[in-house]
Amino acid sequence: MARELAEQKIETAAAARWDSVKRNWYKFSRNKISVVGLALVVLIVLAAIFERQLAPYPQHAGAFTNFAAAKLAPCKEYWLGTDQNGRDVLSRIIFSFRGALIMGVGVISIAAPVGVIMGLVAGYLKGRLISTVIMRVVDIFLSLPSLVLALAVGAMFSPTLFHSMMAITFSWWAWYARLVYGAASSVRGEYYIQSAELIGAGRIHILFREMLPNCASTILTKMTLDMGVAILMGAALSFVGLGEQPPNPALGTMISDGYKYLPDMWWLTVFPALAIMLIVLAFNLLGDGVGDMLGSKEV
Amino acid sequence: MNQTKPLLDIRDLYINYKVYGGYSYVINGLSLQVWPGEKISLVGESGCGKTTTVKSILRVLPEQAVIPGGRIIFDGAEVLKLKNKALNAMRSRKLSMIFQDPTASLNPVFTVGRQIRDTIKYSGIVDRHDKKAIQELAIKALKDCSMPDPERILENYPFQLSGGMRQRVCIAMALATASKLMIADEPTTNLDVTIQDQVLKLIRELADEKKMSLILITHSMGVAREMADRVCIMYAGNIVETAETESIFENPLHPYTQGLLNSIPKLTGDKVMAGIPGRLPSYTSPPPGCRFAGRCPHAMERCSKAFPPYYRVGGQHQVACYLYEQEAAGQGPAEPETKKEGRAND
Amino acid sequence: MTEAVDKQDVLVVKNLKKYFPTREKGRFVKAIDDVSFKIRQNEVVGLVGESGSGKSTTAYCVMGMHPITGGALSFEGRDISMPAQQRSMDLKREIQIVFQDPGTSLNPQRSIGEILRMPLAVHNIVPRSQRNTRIRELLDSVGLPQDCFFKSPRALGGGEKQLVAIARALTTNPQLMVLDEPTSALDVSIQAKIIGTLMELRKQFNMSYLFITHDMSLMRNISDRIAIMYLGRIMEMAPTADFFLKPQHPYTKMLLSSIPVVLKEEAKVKPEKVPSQGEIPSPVNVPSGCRFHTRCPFAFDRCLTEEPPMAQVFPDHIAACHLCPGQPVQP
Repeated sequence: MARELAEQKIETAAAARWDSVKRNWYKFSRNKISVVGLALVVLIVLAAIFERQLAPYPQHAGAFTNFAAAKLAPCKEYWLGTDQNGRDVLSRIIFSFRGALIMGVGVISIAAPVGVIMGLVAGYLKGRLISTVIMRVVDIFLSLPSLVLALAVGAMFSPTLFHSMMAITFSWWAWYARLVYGAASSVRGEYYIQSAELIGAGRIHILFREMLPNCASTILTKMTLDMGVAILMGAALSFVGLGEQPPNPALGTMISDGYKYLPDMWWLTVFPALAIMLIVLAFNLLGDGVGDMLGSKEV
Repeated sequence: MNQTKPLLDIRDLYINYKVYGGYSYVINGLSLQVWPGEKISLVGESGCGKTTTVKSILRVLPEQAVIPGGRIIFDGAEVLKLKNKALNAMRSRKLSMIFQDPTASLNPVFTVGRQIRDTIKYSGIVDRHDKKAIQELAIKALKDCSMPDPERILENYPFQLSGGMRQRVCIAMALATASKLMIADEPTTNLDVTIQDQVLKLIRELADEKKMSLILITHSMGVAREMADRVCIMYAGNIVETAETESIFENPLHPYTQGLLNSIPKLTGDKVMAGIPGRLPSYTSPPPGCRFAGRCPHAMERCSKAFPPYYRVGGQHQVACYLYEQEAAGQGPAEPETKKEGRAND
Repeated sequence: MTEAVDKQDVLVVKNLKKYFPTREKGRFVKAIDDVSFKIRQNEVVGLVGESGSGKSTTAYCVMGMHPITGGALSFEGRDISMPAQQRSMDLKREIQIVFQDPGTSLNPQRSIGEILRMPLAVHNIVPRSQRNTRIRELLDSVGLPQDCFFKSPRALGGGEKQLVAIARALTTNPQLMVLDEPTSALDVSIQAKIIGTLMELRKQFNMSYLFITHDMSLMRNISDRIAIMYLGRIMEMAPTADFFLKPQHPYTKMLLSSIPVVLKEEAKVKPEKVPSQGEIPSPVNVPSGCRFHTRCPFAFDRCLTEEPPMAQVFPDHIAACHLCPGQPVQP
């Protein structure tokens, strides 16, 4: 039976949270496609966690050679075929998920907080000197080409996954700053913020307890969509030899190793490419759903 | 009241909205008639369903709205069954609607003239390529609305006009394609009191001049008193009382009407306004029977069992309240059908 | 009127000016253009006017939301002419505001409990352990059910939200509450409840109100004194009864005669109809002389050139009109 929030008796903070979860699920699940995205993301994450159990040939991830079974097209023993060293493509793809997800999570978990704080401060103090300074710094960082920067870092230090992540994060935070600056400056003028100021609330309280929750939907949607973009970036980097180093499997590396064998051994490039596409698609669909759920004006 | 058929005849209308966890049973067997040339006011507070009702006449309800039962007959046609061409013809030539916020009703990136001309063009009352005729009609529409210097106004953008003038433009747009029924949904709520006066006067004069019927939706009894021949009081999806304007104010019968009149601050008499205790009932699990019973000082047991029929109490005064069953005996049948069988299911 | 600080006066507004700059140099939006009035202890002063009159801006200046262009404001003898950021915490505690639209004055992402807790915490009104109790007491005193505590404002109706806003203003036990059209966005039956609650609270907590509205009938029922504003100036100010029975200024008569009323007795009490003509000029182009002359049916030549001074027509009843004779008044 339908229940309007107004009539429900919510007696504890825990009951309020649970009710809020139920309502959010209702808003999210109205769009079936978003649920598909969520399911895919969950599958990918599970695959990354249980890679050892899931992959048919876990030992193929890493250094392994079996030239007897090399260069085989997709068949019953090797569903997606084998590469020039005899390693199972499917197992290597599954083992590459972990690195891809770490790339995404690593970049976003640093870029987002830094960018959000900068954006909140700049948005709240819009019109003042410090806000202008922050946004000009943001402009500078936005103009850095992250790929080129990653190449430079990789050349200067050693080309590892960690260094590539740092390079990407270096300019990624600026996008969050700009996004949150827009959201924060529009929330800034709302009467509930002025109310808080007139009552005498401190700046920290206003930034993080009053303004941030109202920007949360924009931020969380971007973070979800960014996972896909960051993973794509990571694949691009490993394509050029940065990122996860061989013999650890990475989707981009698999493509760069395999494209010279096109069109004969097509499975070496097509399947890793499809995997990238699937991951990005999953996060995009999920991000759409998150945006609809959080951005909805209903109770 | 003449014995001709009503111009608008809504019979036993039910409208539900799909919401979190189920349905919201907003309109609960509503019946309403408007005769040709009659000016009625639909008075009710926010959330009672007045806008939903008129939107259903125009068939512009949002997609989560369902109409499980009822009929709307306008100018002889079954509105709920009309298809595209006939529906559009009805909307552009016979019905016109003025909304509450004139700023939101006008497109800010087009000139006022472009918007009026488009309305005329697509209504089909003149050949859509006859620019001269269209322009003439647009100017005439603005002149009818007492706009000074219509030619110049037509070239203005909405942001260059004041609130009162924007509303006049909206009225002009509504009337440019001659209609039979004008629906005004709280047209002056966003305007100042002195401008409100002017705009309401304009609407009344135009309705008289063009012999149009008028449904004026408002939450202000004062406005209803100045504008309407007949007042319909709406509560939680039903019309609970309807009467000639004088009768409603001199002799309010329904407890809700009485409560409403008691809540309005007055220029004379008592300073303390009573208000009505309680709040609107839930639309998602509505109480059976009369929806006002929970707040009514005279509620009886039968009130919560079935929605009362309309009892006629002299002239055009009808009230849906069991309190008046005795009084109405011998007055003859009230319109419309007097039986209510509870809400229709989705 | 003496210049001495009168301990009875909660709020003194003296020659207040607030001009907003426009893109053109030298041209201003004269939102408030020399306004003076006082609010005494335990008094409700009503500020009435149409859009562009400057009534809301006056309220905001009293709160310190805008820096003022000229004049002086004082609260219980203390100067409050500075914007809110520079005011002491005491002042922030003692003067509170309730905004017009409860939908935007409450943070939709916070629960009612959190909204009410914030002022208690900021000013440390009660120690942490007693805060929840205090919040529940506040909910009771405005007549809200206890189960609002964990709900978000979106779950409440307009009237309930406004009650939360009022409760929030009450948390700090203020002396002066500024109410900016608190019921304009609400239905009539709920309005009655809110106004009733406000009146009781005022008696209970000995507060003064600066009440702003455009609804004249409402004004009559709650105010002790009423001031009517037009284009940034007070046109007339009087005790409530006098205001309605003996309006002096043509603008007052125009507004009073265009109120839509419901009872026959009310219609009889309204002043003779002064037809409303024209629209309010923009505050950027304030008319010369008496600013009302463009719409006044009684305007004559002096009105076009000379701004009428504020004059005392009856005891405690002042008006600014060449047709209303009286002793000139110094604010």
